Amino acid sequence: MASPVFEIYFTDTMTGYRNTLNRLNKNRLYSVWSLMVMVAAFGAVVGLISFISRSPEIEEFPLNLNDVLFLFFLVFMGKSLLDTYHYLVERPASVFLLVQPFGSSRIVLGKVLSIAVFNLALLAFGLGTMTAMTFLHPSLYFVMPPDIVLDLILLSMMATLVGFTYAVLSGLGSWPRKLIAGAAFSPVMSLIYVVMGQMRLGGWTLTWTLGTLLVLALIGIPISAHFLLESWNTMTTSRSQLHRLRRGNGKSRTVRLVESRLGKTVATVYDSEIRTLMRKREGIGNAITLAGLLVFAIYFYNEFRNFLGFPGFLLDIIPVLVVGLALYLSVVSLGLVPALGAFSHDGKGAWVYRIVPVRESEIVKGKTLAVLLMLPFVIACVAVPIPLVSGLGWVAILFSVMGGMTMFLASTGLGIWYGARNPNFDESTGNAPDIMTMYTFMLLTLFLSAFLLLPPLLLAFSDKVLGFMMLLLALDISALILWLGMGGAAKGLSRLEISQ
Amino acid sequence: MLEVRSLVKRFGPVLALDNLSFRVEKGEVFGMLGTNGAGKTTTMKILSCLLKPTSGQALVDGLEVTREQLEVKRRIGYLPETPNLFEKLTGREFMAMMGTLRGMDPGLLENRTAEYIRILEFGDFLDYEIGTYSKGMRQRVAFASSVLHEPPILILDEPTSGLDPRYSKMVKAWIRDYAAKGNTILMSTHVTEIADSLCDRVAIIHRGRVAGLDTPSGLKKGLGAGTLEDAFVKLVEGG
Repeated sequence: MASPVFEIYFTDTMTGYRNTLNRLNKNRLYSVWSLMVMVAAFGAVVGLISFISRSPEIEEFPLNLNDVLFLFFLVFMGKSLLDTYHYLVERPASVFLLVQPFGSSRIVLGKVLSIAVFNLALLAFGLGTMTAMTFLHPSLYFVMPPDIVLDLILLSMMATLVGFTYAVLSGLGSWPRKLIAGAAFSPVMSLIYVVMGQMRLGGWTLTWTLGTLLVLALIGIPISAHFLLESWNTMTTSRSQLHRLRRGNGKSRTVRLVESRLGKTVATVYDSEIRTLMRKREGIGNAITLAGLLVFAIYFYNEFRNFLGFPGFLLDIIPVLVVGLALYLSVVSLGLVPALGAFSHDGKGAWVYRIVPVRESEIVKGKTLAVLLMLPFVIACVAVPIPLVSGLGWVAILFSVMGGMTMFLASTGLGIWYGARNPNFDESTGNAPDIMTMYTFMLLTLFLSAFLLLPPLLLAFSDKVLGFMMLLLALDISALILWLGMGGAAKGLSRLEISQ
Repeated sequence: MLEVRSLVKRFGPVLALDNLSFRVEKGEVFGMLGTNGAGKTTTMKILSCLLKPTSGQALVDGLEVTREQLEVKRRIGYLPETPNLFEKLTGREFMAMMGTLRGMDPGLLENRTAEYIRILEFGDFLDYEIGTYSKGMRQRVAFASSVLHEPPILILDEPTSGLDPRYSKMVKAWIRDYAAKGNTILMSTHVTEIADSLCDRVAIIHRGRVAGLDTPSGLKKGLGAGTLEDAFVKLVEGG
């Protein structure tokens, strides 16, 4: 009999391979585009690491190699955490592993192996892309020192272990238990931060230290094995989450407003969306995202505003870049991604909207309004405060508000259009849009935002009135994109077949 | 009232329905019996506008389902085989949403909800999130949501699936009463006893075709079988 660990690993690999193949076979052009995006993204990340590792001559550059490596660790940890959560902890089908006559540690080892190998494959892909780029042009010649390659491998494995363990611990039955278990495992995470952030170890010393920390991080395996069953039960069994809700007869003010303007049907869909999103704690997630963006933007601005290595003109536009970056990130996370998933998150309940005698356009309106509800928060938490703390004047604040609205409407239009036409009802992926779709639409949002906002911005530097006139035009165009996107979404929804 | 004519449905290389034809009359309880994958759910989904046929016609109250979707949807109630509902809404909110989307008057909706709370004995559970419900409770909420607007035509895919014998008996009695009021019911089931006791006529579906169609007693007599189960096995094993 094959080892359960390798059996689990083999099954996961086969499933991942078939899912990828299905996705690629659906649309060849999309596959080529996806490959290009992946090559560009991973090549850029690894290229950046390589560039910083070779550039000690840039004095006082605010980011050093350890910062970038630590960011790499955090990204891979987040990915591993989500993978563990979706594919093991909250997956009902995990029962078929848990009832087998072997211990939980085998399951944990098998799953950790699957995630670690995939993470290493991504890393290898990035390194391979970087190597391939060296053949294209001499200026793209990057050499990654061997100690840093080893650091990346060690960090990706540690990120897998830490992310996996935190995913299991986050499923425990009560908040005190989650916090105690999380705190018990926190020394591993703290040591990684201390070694890289505070002690600033470098070279082979860093590599040896990371190797030692990897051995320490292995403690995550017995911890995860011990808590896996409890965590899975909490996340999949009904009774432990049982809580009674207030009778929802009272309509909120926004629902009443929507009902008076757009009718009962749109208001009902909108109401159902908002209740679902709030109970999925999307509100808390969004608040954390906005707070994080605010902190990130201020930190970024403070770190870079006095960096003399930049040419003078770049120093002048750093505040503008910070505002643009914060707006872009908030629009992507609170407009584009929710819009892409607006139809997917119904999952197998999608039949409900297809069976009622209601025009598809009404359903799309209700769902779009629920996404647009975040727009005032983006304005209040990003578009106004960030230019304010960056020392920009009221004209820039007005520009930021209108620009934020333009980006939000356009990206919501794109997301709702694609999301309705290609919903993901695969519960094993958490009904989330797949990673390539996300990358593609993030890039599209970036290009579209640049296309809509750069002309008015450049014009505003010479003539404010003309710049604002052009910005108004851009806002109109973004509203048109939203309207067209909603129309396309309604058409897509009417063609949707519910076969499962 | 309900009719399918030479219905064909393909999923890629798989032929799910192969020239399927039958007609359900007004006030009739019509059962579809079949093996797994025979095409029962596919037929019901086509009649409920959830799937489009590859060819052939499906008519609800004389209306072509691919052309007049909204009108068809106004006339039917559909209960899916698996009660996948909106997990984060409470049962009461879900029923209210379904009723409102079907254009029910708020007063009528409230009265009907109260009536089904009583009939199906929901109690306080209706104010908990659906994600916390047992399978039987979900089935009861799904059933109530499908019939809340009391449509003239009901399409029920395995209506007693997941219910304990007590609720199963309750639902069967409700179906009988509802049909007696002149409403039409198309239902599928794997349980031959239910088809035998509840249905006016039964179609045995095999490999996407009608293998036999008659009253339960007619089917038994015609095939020389003691029970509907024996008749079903004879028809299916005979090809």
